[in-house]
Amino acid sequence: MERLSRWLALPPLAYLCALFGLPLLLMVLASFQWPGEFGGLEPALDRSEDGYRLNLTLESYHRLGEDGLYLGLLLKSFLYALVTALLCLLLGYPLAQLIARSPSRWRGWLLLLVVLPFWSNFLIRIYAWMILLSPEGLLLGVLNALLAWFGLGPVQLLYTPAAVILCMVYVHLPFMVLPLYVNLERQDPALLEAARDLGASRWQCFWRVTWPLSLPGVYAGTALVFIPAFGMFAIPDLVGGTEGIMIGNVIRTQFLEARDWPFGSALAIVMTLVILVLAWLAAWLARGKADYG
Amino acid sequence: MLELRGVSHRYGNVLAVDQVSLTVASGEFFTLLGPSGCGKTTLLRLIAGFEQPSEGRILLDGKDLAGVPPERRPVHTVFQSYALFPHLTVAENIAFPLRMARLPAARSKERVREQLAAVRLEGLAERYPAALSGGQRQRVALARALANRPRILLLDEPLAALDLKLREQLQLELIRLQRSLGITFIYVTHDQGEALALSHRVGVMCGGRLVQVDRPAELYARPRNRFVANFIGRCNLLEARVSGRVNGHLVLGIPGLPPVSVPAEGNLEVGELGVLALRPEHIRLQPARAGEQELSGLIQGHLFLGATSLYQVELVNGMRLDVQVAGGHGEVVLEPGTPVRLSWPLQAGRFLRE
Repeated sequence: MERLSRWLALPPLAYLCALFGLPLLLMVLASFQWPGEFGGLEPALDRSEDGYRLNLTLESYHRLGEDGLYLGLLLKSFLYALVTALLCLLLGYPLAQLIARSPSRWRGWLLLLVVLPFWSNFLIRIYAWMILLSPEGLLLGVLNALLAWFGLGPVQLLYTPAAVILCMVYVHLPFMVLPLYVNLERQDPALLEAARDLGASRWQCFWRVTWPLSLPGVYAGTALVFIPAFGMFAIPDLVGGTEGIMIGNVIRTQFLEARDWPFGSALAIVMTLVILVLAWLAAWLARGKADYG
Repeated sequence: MLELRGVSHRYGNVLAVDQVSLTVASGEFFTLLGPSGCGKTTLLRLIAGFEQPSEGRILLDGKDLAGVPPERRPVHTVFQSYALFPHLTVAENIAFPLRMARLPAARSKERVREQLAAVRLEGLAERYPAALSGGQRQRVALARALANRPRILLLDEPLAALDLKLREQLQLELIRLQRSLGITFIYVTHDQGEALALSHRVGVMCGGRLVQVDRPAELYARPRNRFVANFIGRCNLLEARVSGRVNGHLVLGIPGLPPVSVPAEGNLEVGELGVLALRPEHIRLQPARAGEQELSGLIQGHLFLGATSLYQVELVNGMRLDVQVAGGHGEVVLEPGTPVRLSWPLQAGRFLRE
C-alpha cells in the first residue's frame, strides 16, 4: 500500500516539476539575463574565442529598486489584495456561519449556490459586471437616480479602483466561504452552550469560542483570496482603467508589449517572494492551532 | 431552593416532560434517574435555561426563572461530552466563568488554583484538553462548572463515558465536593447504582413523568409501581390478583400457585390486578419458618457473581424467579432439575398495582 501510493504520486510530481518547477527556474534565470534586442532574451552564456563566459546582470533588479513607480505598484497591489481579503472575510464569515448552522438537508443546496458562479467563465462574469457598472447600466442608473434625489452628482464606478475591489471580492468570495464553512460546520455546538451556561453573552460566545476556533479557517480563506488577488491582472485590465492597474498588469505588459522579459521576470519573482513571506507569516501565526482535539 | 411547578415541555408533538412538580432543597444532592428518552435531560435543560417550559413555572428561591437566559442563571452544567474549550488551557477553561463574571484577575487566579487543588489536577494547569485523559477532562469540567460557585450544579451523565474503576473513584470525589461546598447538585443518570450511591433523594422518571421521589433506601425498599421496582435493583415480578384480606394481610392469588400473603398497604380492594414484587436477595432456598411464605420449584440455572450466586427457579406454574444467595464461592452448586423450596419473610413481599 505504502509503495503503491508512492508510485501513484509519481505522475503528478513529474507533471508539476515539468510544467511548474522548471518554468519557475527558467524565470529566475531570465530575471538575471539581458533582454534581447527584439524581445526575448540574450543568451546566458556568451561564446567567445577563449571559451564560454556568463552573461548575467542585476540590471532588472536595480531598475525595480530605483524606480518608485514599481515599488509603489507593488504596495498598491498588496493593499488591494488585503482590502479584498478583509471584505471577503467580512462578507464570507456570516454567510459561512449561516450555512453551517442551517438544517443539514439545506446545507448542500446552499453550498451549491455559493459555487454556482463557477459554472460560467470568469471573464464572462467580469464582462457582466462591466455592463452593470457602466453609466448606462441598471445598477449605476438606479444608484445615480437615488443620489440625484438627494441632490448629489452622478458617480462613476467603471474604470475606478472601487470597481476593481468590487469585482475581486465578487470573484474570490467562494474561496473564503468554503474553508470557513468546513471549519464552522465541524465546531461542536455543545461548546457554545457551555459558554452561555458559564455566563457568556452571545457576543462573548462568538469572540471567545467561535472566532478563536475558526482561526485556521480564517487563515486558509484569507490566503486563498489574498494570493490570487495580489497577482490579478484580468480584472484591473477590464474594469480598472488607468487608476486601477495592479502589479499583475505591469508584469503582463512587460512580457507581451514592452517585451522586456528579464524585467517582467524580476517583478514576478519579487511578488512571489512577498507572497512566500506572507504565507510563512500566516503559517507561523496559525502554528499549533490547526487541530484541537 | 429550586421549585418546579407543573412543568411540561413539548418538542413538536412529543411531550418530553409531562407535568413535573418537584422541590429540591438547598445543598441537596438530587438525582433524576430513568432510561434514555425519559425526559431527564430535557428537564435539566429547562432548569439550565436552554429550553423554555411549554407549561408550568420554575422558581429559584421563590423567583420565577421564566425569560432569564442561561448566562444570567446562577446554574452551571457539567455536560456529558464535558464541552471543554479546546483552544484554552485547563487553567483558562476553569477561569472562563470567572472572566465572564468580571472577577478581578488576582482573585480569579487564586480561585483557579483552589479549583485545581479541589479536583487534584495541580500539575496540569497549562495543558490543553486534547492532552488529558477522560477522567482528567471530567475533573476539569467539574472544576470549571463549580469555579464561580453556582447556586445549583447540573450534571448530565457526567461519568457515563468512563470505565467502572474510575467511575467509582469519581463518585466518591463528587460526594466529597458536594458535601464540602454545600452546593445543590442535580444529577442525571440512567445508572441506578450511581443514583442510589450518590444522592440524598432520587426522582425516578418514565415517559416524561416523575413517577417516584424518595430517599434511596425508601426507593429500594418501597417502590411505588412496577416500573420503579424493575428499574431499581433486580426484582421478581409475578402477575397477581388481590383475593382477600386475612389478619391485616393481603392474600394474593397467582394462577397455578398456592395463595401468597403480603403486608397490606394503601387502600387496595379485592379483585385488583397487579404484581407480586420480590427481591432475589430476600428469597432463601430453604423450607419456610414460622410466619414465612413458601413456594416450590425446580432449579433451572446458576450464575456465579463473585460475592453471591444467582439461581433461576421455575415454579410449578411455569413462572420463573431469580434467587440470590450469599457465598457463591465454595458452596455446593445445585444442579438444574433439583427440586427446591423457596421461602421469604412476609414483610419482604409487596403488591404493586399495575
